Amino acid sequence: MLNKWFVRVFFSILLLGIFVGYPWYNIANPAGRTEARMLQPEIVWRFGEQHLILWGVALLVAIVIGTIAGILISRPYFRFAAPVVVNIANIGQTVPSLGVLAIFMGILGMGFNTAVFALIIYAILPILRNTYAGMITISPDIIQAARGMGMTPMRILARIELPLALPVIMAGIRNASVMVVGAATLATFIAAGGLGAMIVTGMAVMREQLFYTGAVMAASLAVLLDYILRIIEQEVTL
Amino acid sequence: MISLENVTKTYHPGDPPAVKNLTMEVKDGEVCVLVGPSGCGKTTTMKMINRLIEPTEGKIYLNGEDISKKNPIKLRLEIGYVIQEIGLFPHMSIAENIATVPRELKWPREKVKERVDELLDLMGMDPEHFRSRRPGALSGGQRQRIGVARALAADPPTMLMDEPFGALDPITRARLQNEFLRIQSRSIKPSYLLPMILMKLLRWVTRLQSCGKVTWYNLPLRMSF
Repeated sequence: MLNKWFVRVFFSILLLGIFVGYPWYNIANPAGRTEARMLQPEIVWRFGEQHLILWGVALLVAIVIGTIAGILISRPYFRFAAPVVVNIANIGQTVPSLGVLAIFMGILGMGFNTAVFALIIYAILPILRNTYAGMITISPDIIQAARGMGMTPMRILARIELPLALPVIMAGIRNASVMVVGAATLATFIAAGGLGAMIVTGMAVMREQLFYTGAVMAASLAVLLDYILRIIEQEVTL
Repeated sequence: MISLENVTKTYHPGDPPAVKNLTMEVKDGEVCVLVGPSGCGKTTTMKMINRLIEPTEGKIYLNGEDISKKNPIKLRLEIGYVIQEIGLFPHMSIAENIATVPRELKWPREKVKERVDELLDLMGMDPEHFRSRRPGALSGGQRQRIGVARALAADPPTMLMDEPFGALDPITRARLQNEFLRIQSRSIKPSYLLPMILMKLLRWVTRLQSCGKVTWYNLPLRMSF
């Protein structure tokens, strides 16, 4: 027990160390004047913060919409809609993330809101699909037993179906989380900031220290957040 | 008391009915056994009694009340139910599984705990040992016992049991059947009458019959002996 938490805390701190330590080192040791102009603490940390906010808002909204929609289309009276909804969500997924951003930029203009909106669309699919899959794969015997013993549909949902589908739903959320951290690096193209700004700027001015900083931060953030979600998953499904 | 009056169930219009014109009565304290080949409507008959299935025609009365006018949730809470496939909740401990109906009825925590231990004892399973285990850690026979314990939990005046020993090998089945006879004889009290419907349990039925408590009903449709 203690051992398990020791490992968890150790790896979390290690990943957080990479996320903080690598840019910290680069801020302290810029390779040249161009790099030094961008590698200011307040600029780098603001990009990191923007990235985290993009991730958090998009994922939270996607979890709410995705699970509710997934539950609804798994109900007998809405099940006819399931193939349609899953296919629409699939299309949202097939369009490249940059394309999704471009489409919504055309409609909603530039900025943070558009980026969040596009990321939400992008993150809903895995959550919705996994929620639906988790709900419909529950053995009908279990539901029948619960019904036969006099549980109301809401109680069955809360006490039987959701807990049983939770591991699959959590897998979908983790999947969405990794995708959103990656896709959020593109938010910079529509002036929504995030760690992508450093990558894009770094590539534009051919300063590898800049884009390495952005890339390492984004990658370690994705792994760190996934690791934390995995700990949550293990704790809630045990 | 359960009584069925001319109950017919047709699943799809045009198909032959699964249950046709069934009229029967199970008195308080009586054990009723439905016997017949698979597909003759035993499970359908049972599920109509707790309204998991609505009859196409006919009326069903529980203690004189027309069940189609009762709230199905209330009705089911009054009827202990063991389904063919047991259907234990794999994410809950044995104690939580058994406590399902008492918790739906909002019993106080202490009373629920007491009842769970009492039932585990009755099933011949040590509460200390089994209380916090998951159904996955049990053998087939133990699972069936938990299924029955769960149905008995809130002391329902009526029990419906759908092949509670269906999935067992003959030796375990024989042992469990004897055990259930013991449980049943222990748990019948004046206020606790037990109309039971059991399926396909010829051996057990013969034993019960020798106690003089069994009524037989032939389902009119496709019945064979």
